Amino acid sequence: MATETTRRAFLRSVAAASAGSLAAARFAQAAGPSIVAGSFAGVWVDGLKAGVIPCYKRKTGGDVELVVGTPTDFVQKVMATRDRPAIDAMIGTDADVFQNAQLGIIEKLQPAKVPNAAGILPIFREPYEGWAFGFDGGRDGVTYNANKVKNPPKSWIEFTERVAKGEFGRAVLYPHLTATDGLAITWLINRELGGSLNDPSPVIKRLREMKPYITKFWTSNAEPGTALTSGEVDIAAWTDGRTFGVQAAGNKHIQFALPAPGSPMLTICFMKVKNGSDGGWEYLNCASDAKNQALWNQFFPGYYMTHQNNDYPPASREKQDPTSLDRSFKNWIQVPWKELSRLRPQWMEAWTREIGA
Amino acid sequence: MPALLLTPLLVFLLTFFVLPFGVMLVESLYLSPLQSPAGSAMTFANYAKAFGDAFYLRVLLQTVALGVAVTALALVLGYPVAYFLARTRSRRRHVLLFLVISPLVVSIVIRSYGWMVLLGRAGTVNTLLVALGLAERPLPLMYNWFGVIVALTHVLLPFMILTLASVIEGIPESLEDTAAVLGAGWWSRFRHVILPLSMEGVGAGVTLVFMLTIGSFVSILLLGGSDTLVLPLLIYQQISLLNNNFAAALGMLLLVLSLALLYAQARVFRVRGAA
Repeated sequence: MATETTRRAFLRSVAAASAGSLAAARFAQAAGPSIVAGSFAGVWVDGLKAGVIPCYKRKTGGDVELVVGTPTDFVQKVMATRDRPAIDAMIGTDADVFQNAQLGIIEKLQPAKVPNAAGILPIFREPYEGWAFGFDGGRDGVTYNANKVKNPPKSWIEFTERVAKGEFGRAVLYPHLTATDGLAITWLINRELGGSLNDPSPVIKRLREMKPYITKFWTSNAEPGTALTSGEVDIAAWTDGRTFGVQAAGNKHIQFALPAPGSPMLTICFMKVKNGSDGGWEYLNCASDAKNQALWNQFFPGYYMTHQNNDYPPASREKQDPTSLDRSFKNWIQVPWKELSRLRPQWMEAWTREIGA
Repeated sequence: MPALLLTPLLVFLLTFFVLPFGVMLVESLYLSPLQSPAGSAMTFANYAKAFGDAFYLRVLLQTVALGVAVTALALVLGYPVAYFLARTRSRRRHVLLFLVISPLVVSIVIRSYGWMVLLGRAGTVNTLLVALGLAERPLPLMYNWFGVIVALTHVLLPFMILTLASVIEGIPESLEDTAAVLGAGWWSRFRHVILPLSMEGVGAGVTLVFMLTIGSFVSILLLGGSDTLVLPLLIYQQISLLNNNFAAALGMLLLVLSLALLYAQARVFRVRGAA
């Protein structure tokens, strides 16, 4: 009888558990849509989980599955699954926005579905012609080992001249043109050298002179950090945010300098994938909320955010450029991303032919 | 019955090897959506670009040269180890075997970072060289062909050694003993007995290591520099630019190179067998 009682108790508990999980499953089905969103690796995930994703969960009851990768990875996945895309909302650089629009894989933002985007500063909305909004960005400059480089370059032209003369030895990193930072910096240097969008020859000629002293053209944003901290290179064209991360890890001798006339503006943007779940709109709405941006920013001190009502966390505020705090962004140089994106293949051909890297 | 047993393998190869290459071949005959937004007709433009441009031909030559360099080094370094492994009666043979395959136990990314620690400007090798007075200043051992060749030889040496060892094991030791008794020194025994009888192993090892070298990517990406551009890296660059169609054409080039080598190996050993 004791055995029979135990068996009945067991069967009752199994039935209760089954009913409970069925109810949970039904609740999950009744909750909002779960979506798939693209993210960069590492701390980017933490940043999104701090504010944007909880916001989405609160508003829809659904969940967000993050796919970690690069903008190219996201585009490749979406292009391979156009009718039922593998990703519903993705991130990318300014250059990627126009490229993705040309490929027909993103939708124009619908103000009614992304009302928070109206609070994004015009400088981070209007250039994208409705295809995306900017989320965050940093500065491109020169990161150097202060123990080896006592007098960092004061301008981009000076940087290129000193590298080409071999002043830093063969201990320099420069971004590859396939990296958007590389495209932006190369465009800026070309402009400073008197070139134009249709004529990249001045910067290509200068890069050819620099090439014997460039250890590597970096393609991954992590490479300069490794090379600088290991002592492999002494100076690199890189971003301020990543430099701050390297400094925070204890490498105080690695310093950042902003060469004149300043940094090209390079912003990470959020886009809604065409044919993706409608939940993607709410995700974008959460990403364009000032509070969620501030929550993200606590993981990226020094990166600017794009909402007009942004309140930077204290640790970030002290690293910000003054013109990001006053929201004028005057210290940044606007890149003609739409035209540059269209001309990128020609720039790449010139690079391949002349630089051969 | 034997044919039936092959069916699962053939289905697997057809589905995951032949068909994808078929798709890649078709892709290579069109322009990418960014190059031709309105769509593209079938064209050989991608192949014309790959063969008609000196830059891409240089990359192809660099790829082959890298394959030759790593294969030659693996053969020279691996043959003595393979011979020892095949002939030793030591109870510690399994320890040596483990040491031979140990590079394969660690992930290729970790292994490459390990080489960066060793070969860097402030790495172990340079620190020792400078400390011992063998170099005035750190030598450029990384971010160049030297670093790439060292790292690739390290990872591909086991393939050469194991292929050779299995063939040398099959050569009767009595043949060497007979040659020794007849007065042949070790070089004569190697040149006239061991080497000719191990040529099939040499062929197989050379083919395997060469094909693996020309398809290598991670080690070259991490340890290579501004000049070390090979086909796999170029394919990666093109995919980064969403130029999948040109990348497909370059991929077909790599496939043809590998198949040509396999064919050459098969022909050489068929001729040798007939002789």
